[in-house]
Amino acid sequence: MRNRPTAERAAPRLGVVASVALHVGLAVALFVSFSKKIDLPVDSTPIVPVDLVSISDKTNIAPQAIEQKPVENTPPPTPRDVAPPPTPEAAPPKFELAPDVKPQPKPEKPKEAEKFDINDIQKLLAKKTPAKTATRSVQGVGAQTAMTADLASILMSEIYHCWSPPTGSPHPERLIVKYEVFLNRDGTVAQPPQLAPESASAASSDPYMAAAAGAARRAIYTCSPYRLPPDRYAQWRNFIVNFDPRQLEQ
Amino acid sequence: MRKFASVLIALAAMALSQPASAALQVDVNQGNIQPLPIAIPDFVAPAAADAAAGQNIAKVVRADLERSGLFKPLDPKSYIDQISNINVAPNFQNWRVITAQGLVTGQVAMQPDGRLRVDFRLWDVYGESQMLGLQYFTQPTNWRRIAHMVSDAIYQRITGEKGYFDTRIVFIAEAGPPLKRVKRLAIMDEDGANPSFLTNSYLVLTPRFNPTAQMIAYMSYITGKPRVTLFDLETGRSEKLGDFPTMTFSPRFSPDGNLVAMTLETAGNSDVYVMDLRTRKSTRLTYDPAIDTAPSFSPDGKQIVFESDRGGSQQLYVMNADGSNQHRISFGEGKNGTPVWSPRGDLIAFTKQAGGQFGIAVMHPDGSGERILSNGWEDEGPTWAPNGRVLMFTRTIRGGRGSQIWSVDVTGRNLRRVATPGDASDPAWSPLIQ
Amino acid sequence: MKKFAVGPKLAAAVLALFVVGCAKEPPPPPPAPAPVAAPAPAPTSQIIPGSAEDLRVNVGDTVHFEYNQYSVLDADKATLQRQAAWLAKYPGIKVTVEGNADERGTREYNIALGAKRANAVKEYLVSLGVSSARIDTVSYGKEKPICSESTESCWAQNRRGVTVIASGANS
Repeated sequence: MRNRPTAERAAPRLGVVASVALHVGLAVALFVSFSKKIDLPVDSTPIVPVDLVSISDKTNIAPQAIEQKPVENTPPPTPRDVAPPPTPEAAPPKFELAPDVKPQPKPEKPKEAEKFDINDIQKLLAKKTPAKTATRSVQGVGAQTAMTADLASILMSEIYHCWSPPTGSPHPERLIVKYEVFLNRDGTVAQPPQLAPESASAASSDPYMAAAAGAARRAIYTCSPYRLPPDRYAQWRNFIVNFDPRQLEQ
Repeated sequence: MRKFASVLIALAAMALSQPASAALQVDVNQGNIQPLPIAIPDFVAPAAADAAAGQNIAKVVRADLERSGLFKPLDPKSYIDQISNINVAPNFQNWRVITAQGLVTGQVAMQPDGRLRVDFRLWDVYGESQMLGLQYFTQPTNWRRIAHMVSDAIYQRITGEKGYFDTRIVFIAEAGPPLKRVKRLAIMDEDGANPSFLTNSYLVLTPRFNPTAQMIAYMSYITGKPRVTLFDLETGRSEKLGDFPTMTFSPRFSPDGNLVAMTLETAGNSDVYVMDLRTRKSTRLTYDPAIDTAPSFSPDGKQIVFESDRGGSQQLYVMNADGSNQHRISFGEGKNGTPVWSPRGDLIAFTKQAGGQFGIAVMHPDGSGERILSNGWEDEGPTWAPNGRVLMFTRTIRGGRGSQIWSVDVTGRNLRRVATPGDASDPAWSPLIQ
Repeated sequence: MKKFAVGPKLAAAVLALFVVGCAKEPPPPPPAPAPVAAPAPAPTSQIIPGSAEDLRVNVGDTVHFEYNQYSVLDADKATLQRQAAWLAKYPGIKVTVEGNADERGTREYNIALGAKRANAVKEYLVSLGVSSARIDTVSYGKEKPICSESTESCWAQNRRGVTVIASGANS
């Protein structure tokens, strides 16, 4: 194996300087002098002996472990994030507290607004709606979706800002991802979103789909907390979201 | 039968995925395409002597990911948290505050045997989970390649496609005044590091890598009689390919590396030939009095796309690798040349000349779905990243003011100049280094 | 070895002709045909007969082509006839015809086009009785311009076939 003729063997800080010098030198040499041959040594592709080891993500659930040698406990490849088993995700309850640390008065504000809202009648109606839905839900889905159409459009308009869909894949039309989302009353994500089985099975075999699922999941998280009418929490405490990139300009 | 099964699965899936409690359905069919905000702190070095290596690796990873246009590495100055131990879960909240969605933590440590050990973890900041954790051992001088491998691994985990950072570019380094241009074969890393010349001052053009990135085929005027020449990066030796009485040019390797498709000119007429490198026997594939040139294999090696002006203007044609079934695929505006089949197989990139401009465009191998990715005075000669996601090409500035290498994402986004030592043209992207 | 045989004088002369001929009018939409064959000025006493300079200055070594074309123009036939006569006079001389293209084409296509142009010149010389064994061809595509402006008149100058002595010249 031959190493490359570069400045990198010098002290690293010098390396940057040397690299700049080399570039400038090359440029100058190229422009100024052709009588002198600039004969950098012929380069060969260096073969890098690399031992690749998959590191356990065990530290994920053992935050206090110090200097744990990750190599020594190398379990089989860790589960993909697209289909997270609920146990490890739920394991660090410590993290559940994290969103609360962030001052989040938003959920309260709507309540205040409610009080001062001129359209008292509308609010009253809105308040009554969940009750109606609750009773009707036994009877059929149709009526229920009609009642939640406004919520769907609110969520849509929130989520699409957060969704950076995968681009440039060979088959964007296949990358529809379906998640079930679980929210707390304050609009924060209550538990990890659940990838629908059909999306999960596609993601397990297609890396593009896995990436699409990852992008959808990030969208769900980064959009939290959702600003939704608290009085209708029963309607939006969990919902299905379809991320559909077909209409996007690729 | 298969259909029936999939219907069943779909039905079962629907039943499972829509519990009665989740009546609310949200369809998101618009998005906000943004590079992924990612934090990449300097890699931790338990020994002070390794600190510089940790900084350098993180710097290269940040630059790699930024260059791709798909990531936005956040300014380290904005970090409010410090990573001191990569085996402890980070405080995700402190990374969410600075809007990071991804976090890379890494560590470098010199081993007693003199090798450098590099560990890194990629974290999902919002999901609060590890997405990837890998460890490398290498000679310390190879730190830069390790950095590229780390970038490739992160890129693949996030985008679903293999990365392309641990690759090299062979190109033509240009210098001198417009009428006395000196062109030399040169090579550099994908990020512009480690440039070096491979030839001296005689005219060379259109270099192409073989699939192992050990061999380069190019057109050389060294004898005054231009011929396709092979350059062996291992030995540094070059060798004329074949013994043709007339000019050969426009070479390109087959995906298995055993064949070189090229153009042979006889009495002024250019046709496409294929030479088997094992037997050195060549086969003629086209028999048209028009110009047939610029062949490029499909990734399965079964087809060749090339350009021909047999229909009156320069257009793209596809044929089987044995020369049969030659058919035109480009019917759009203008002239179309220098086609290159994507390593992914889904697209053919080419040079489009229309409306007084030269641009880089792509279309499907059946000629459908043409999209223009770049437009310039003279953009030409595309080359694909090994993942079929990014292209480089030559951009020549109007008025003889030199040539540059540019890159663009296959979506047409992220058009940017590639760093080269001086003027440069005719880039060819290597496969991932083995 | 000599690859590029257009002397600065002739280049300047050709340039001057084009400046006079084309520069005053706005660039016409159709590509301007290369209008002028190289003139055959009166022989200068210092030039050695049968030398490279003799071919360049007294005979005329360059012919031009229209955009994307490779047929020899009528206007250039006189030049090639002088070349054929000159080659008949110096049978020991072998020549190479260099085919060139303007910048408005892709690299590979222009190499192929330059080859067609060089071959067209060769065939014309052969038709006038020059042995094909005495004429080699080479194409430089768009790699050897003699004019670097991105203008129609420049491109017309660059679309050219140049006959240069390969061996057997007097000196």
